[in-house]
Amino acid sequence: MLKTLVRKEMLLELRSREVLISMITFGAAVMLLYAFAFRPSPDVLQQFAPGLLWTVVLFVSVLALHRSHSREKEFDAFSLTLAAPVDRSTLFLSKWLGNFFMLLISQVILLPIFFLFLQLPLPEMAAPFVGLLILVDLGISGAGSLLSGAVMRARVNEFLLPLLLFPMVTPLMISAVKSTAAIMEGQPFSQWKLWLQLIVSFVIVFGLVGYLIYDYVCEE
Amino acid sequence: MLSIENVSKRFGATSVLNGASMSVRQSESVGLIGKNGSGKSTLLRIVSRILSCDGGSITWEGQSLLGSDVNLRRSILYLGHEPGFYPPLSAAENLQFLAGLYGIETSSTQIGEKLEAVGLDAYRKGPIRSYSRGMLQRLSLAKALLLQWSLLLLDEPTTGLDSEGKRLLSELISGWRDQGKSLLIISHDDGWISAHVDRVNILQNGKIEPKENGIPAAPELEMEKEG
Repeated sequence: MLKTLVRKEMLLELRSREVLISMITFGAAVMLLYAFAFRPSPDVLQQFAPGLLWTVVLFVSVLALHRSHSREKEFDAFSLTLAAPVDRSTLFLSKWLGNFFMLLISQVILLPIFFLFLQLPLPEMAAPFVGLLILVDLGISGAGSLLSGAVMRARVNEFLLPLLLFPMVTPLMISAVKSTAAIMEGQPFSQWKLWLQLIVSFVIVFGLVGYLIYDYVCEE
Repeated sequence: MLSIENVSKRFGATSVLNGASMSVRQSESVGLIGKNGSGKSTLLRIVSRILSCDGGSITWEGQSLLGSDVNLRRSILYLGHEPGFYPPLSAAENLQFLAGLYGIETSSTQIGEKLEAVGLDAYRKGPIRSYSRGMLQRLSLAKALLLQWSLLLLDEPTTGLDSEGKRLLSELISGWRDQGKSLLIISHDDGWISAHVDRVNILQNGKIEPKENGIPAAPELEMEKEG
């Protein structure tokens, strides 16, 4: 069942290509703006790069998160899934995974642009860096999928989603920035272990909350 | 048997359903009429678990439909007033997805047959975004042909259908009734619905009452027809 639902999420994007193109265009534009408009010195850039990276990822994620539920309203398509013998928790998992894949695909394209245009050295600890990206993406998409479902029927949902999401993911973002900075500076794991634990806790908490309450969230 | 007992639903300060009760017995076809905004579609959406209700109970084959057992919904199919499909996908992809939701293995040939039965085989590949209202209604009927169900909830099934489409719908309903399936149909068209069901109920002021033979429809309905 989960496979069917995730496949549908991917198929919808493959057919319309509206979300990924928007994410990549917007993300690249913000990165280029940072690179050319501010012209920071390499030292300053090195210091601010993790913050810039996660700010861009968070802004870009809103596009996918909003669309994941707003397109369910067209032709009342959500009723097809809601009326079917599908566990609502499985529905949440499909939204979570769908948004996670969108974020991941967009980052595959945006990260080279980030490192290239900001002339940053690639992190020496590549595996922890990729692992961290995956974890934080899971956190953003988990909390975001839940919120996106909760606000989908609100009249101003496109404004409401970032207004609620940004404060909610602040602990995740701080932990992500701190961990990324430590990885880029080559610090030992013990120095950023606590931040990683916070990120893992965030993913587990929001994953569980979404899994348990999505039934109440998605019903009108 | 579908049993709806004292169901209530409010949207903000507006009470739409206020202790609505009715039942649909095995192999029975029941119509539900009422003026615009009386809560007919709301009731069907509650039975389909698309909407939550504020009170009351709904049971299907003796088990609560409001619980967490999703398998109970396997034998109930809801064809709503809105199409209930994904616009960027084709008709075949939408039906394939639907079959997946109900755990049914289908081939493209089988889906082609269902689309042919509702007159859409020639349009199976393009996105349904470009479909007319009538074509979307026909596609909805293909859902009912694709799945195995015991109770069909039909919300304004004639909307957008041309005369040929209405004839197709009548034939399908007649066939389902012959097969002993249960139907709950909502329509504004008092005359059409009376020809396709065993009995008709009226939903007014949040409550459901039987429409007896020989008794004229509710005053609101008469006014609506005149308008």
